[in-house]
Amino acid sequence: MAEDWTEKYRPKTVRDVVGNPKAVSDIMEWADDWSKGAPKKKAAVLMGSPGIGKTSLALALASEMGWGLVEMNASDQRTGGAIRSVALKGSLSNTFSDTGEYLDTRDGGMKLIVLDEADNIFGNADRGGVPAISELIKETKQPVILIVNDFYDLSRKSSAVKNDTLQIKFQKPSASTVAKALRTITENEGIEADDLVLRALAENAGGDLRAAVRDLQSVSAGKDALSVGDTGILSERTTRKNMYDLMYAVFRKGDPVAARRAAFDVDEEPSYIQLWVEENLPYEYTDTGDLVRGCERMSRADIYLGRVHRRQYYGLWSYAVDMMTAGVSEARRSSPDNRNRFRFPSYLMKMSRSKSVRNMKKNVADKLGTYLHTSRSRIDSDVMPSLKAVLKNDQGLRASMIRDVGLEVEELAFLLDTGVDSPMVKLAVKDAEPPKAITKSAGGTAEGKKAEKPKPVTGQKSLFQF
Amino acid sequence: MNEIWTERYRPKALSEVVGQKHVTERLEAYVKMKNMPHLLFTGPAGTGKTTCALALAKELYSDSWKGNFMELNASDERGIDVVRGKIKEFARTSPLGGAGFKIIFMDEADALTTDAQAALRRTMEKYSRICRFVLSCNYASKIIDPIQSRCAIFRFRPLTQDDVKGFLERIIAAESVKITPDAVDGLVHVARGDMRRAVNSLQVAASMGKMIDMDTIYQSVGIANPEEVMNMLETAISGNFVSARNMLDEIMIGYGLSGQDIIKQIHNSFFDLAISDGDKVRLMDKTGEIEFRIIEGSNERIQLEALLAYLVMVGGNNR
Repeated sequence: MAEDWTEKYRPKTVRDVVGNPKAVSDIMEWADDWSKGAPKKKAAVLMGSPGIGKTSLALALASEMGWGLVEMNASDQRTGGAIRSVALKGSLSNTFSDTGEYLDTRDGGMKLIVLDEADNIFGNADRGGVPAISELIKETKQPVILIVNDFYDLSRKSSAVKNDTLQIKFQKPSASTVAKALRTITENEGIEADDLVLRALAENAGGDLRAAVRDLQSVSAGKDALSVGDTGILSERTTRKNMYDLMYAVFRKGDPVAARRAAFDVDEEPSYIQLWVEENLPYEYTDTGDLVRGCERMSRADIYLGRVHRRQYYGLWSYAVDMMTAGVSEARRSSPDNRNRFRFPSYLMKMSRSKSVRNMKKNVADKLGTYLHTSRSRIDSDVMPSLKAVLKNDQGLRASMIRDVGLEVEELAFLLDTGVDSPMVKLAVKDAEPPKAITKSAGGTAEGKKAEKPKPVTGQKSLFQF
Repeated sequence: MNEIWTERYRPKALSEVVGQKHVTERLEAYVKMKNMPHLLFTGPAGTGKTTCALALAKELYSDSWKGNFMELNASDERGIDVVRGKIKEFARTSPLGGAGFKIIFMDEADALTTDAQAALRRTMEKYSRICRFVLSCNYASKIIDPIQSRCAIFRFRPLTQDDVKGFLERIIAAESVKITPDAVDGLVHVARGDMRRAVNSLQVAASMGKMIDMDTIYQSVGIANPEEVMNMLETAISGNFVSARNMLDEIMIGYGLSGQDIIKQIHNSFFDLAISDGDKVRLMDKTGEIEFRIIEGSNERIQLEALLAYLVMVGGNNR
């Protein structure tokens, strides 16, 4: 049984791919377009969490369409040069088929270029990778598939990825779909398996089909029957399930010692547990007394964490965890409401959603800090609020932001809370250009109003000069 | 042609600096000698520390000041290694225009941890032949003794009301701002000796484009203290913890305010809350404790949430 089941049972045809009928039909349509000549979107992005069949679909597609394959993944050194030399060259001229036969594009042998783990293209080793991918997407003569877990991250770095690709979302298969797929394997391998076992394996994998297959292979090693006891040796794969268990132990079990013990089992950093407990605390402790006591315990826990950071003394970690689990559990006086569902930390989602805004803000604060000889934090707390207010009323100052502070057009628009093509921004861009004629009236608030009078007829043009 | 007034009216020469004669006279002596020790500027915000450092450099080096002067902000730089890297880079080339040394101005030096300050001390020593350091901070007590003992210490005094008023009046004349006399006094009062705040508030008020009176001043000061903080406190007092917490996230993530900034604003605003005086006093104590815990802890939000929960309780007592 040397063969890896995740490879052995990798779908051979597109139809064999588990779940995701929409994704499958989308990609087939795109592939059909290719056989009629290059479609408008020459590249497709398959996005979704690990182990749900993205790579399998790409490989199955190539074999089904009779295309050759040029494959790269994160383990390759993916510098711009490497991508260009392999993918772009491969796509523009010749390559080998998967059996080693030399194929010529002019003979009609089309090749699918697959960039696996395309979202891992950052850092030093992959310098230049993103521009190369953008170039590839635009210029390829061959179908290209990018496979990503985190589409947002890559699309932020490359507008070509964002705008010039066909985006196909992969959903996690449900536990019953996964269990069904496992059933196919056990039947094929001649293993008798209890339904409950397959179901447990499927649920444990949390939608990761590959993980489920791998677990199945490891629990059934050397056996021809699987019963309920056999899954016990698996460690749980998903942290999320564990975190929900921990939340239950902390908030509803009414047993501080058990809450503390549950924290040992999750094997997560205290700061992560802190986020979870914090998120759920007000929803669980709706009684004011419980809330105040719970928050106080969280506060004490956080002080221990602060001392750990400052003194690099990790011995205090356990006190922090004790306070946020046993301490919070003990804070409850009222009885729990078991109807609510536990929540994933919204702070993490807010932070990831606000990433681009925060970056923009940081850049603005850096520029203002340099100009005003002060720190970012002082800009944020002291300067930003009043500056925003003045900018709303003062055209001259808007122009000065571009001319003197060196803000980009988008950054000024951000401060004004408008779009880059708003009249205020356009006029500021125009005014920021070096004056050609006489500059009348210096200073004064009246100037702002005067300057607004001439309508920006040439506003359009000056925008392009940026 | 408008600019940010705090920059436009920043004094260019030491003699123009307001209210710090005891400092500027000694600095002018250094200019005359063309030599100086390391300096430590201490004093509240908006009293002229950065302005003096810039003016000192301009007078020492005249046209070549930019090449001989480097600004670092301790609270912006990520770690002492970055600071040391920049210093090393700057100190590699000899001073321009025949000057004997370069100046490194490190603002908010009290943001450095004790360990980082110790590392900075060694760096200061290493480059002292080529560079003089000017450190700036709010409290000298936050600077480790070995650094203090190597620096000439300059204490910047809080500006008097007359100092602030005189300076504002110069701007009012230059920009032909229309303002009532009591509004000028109001501006001076709310600035509490911080010239930057006074000038910022004046510019906000002036941008509203009418005769500035006390109402305009209140409005412009309100802008500088975002009402979001007040809204958050009131929401907590009304008993809605989850909404108050969402507002807190908005202030911290959206406005980018630090926990310490927020707690300072809370401290300034809870006298306006509709709670009993006894609760206000207890709240003062609690707020102080929370600020201490913010410094001592690792996650500012957790600490501020504890304060919000406390407010929910106080609100319950007052309903």
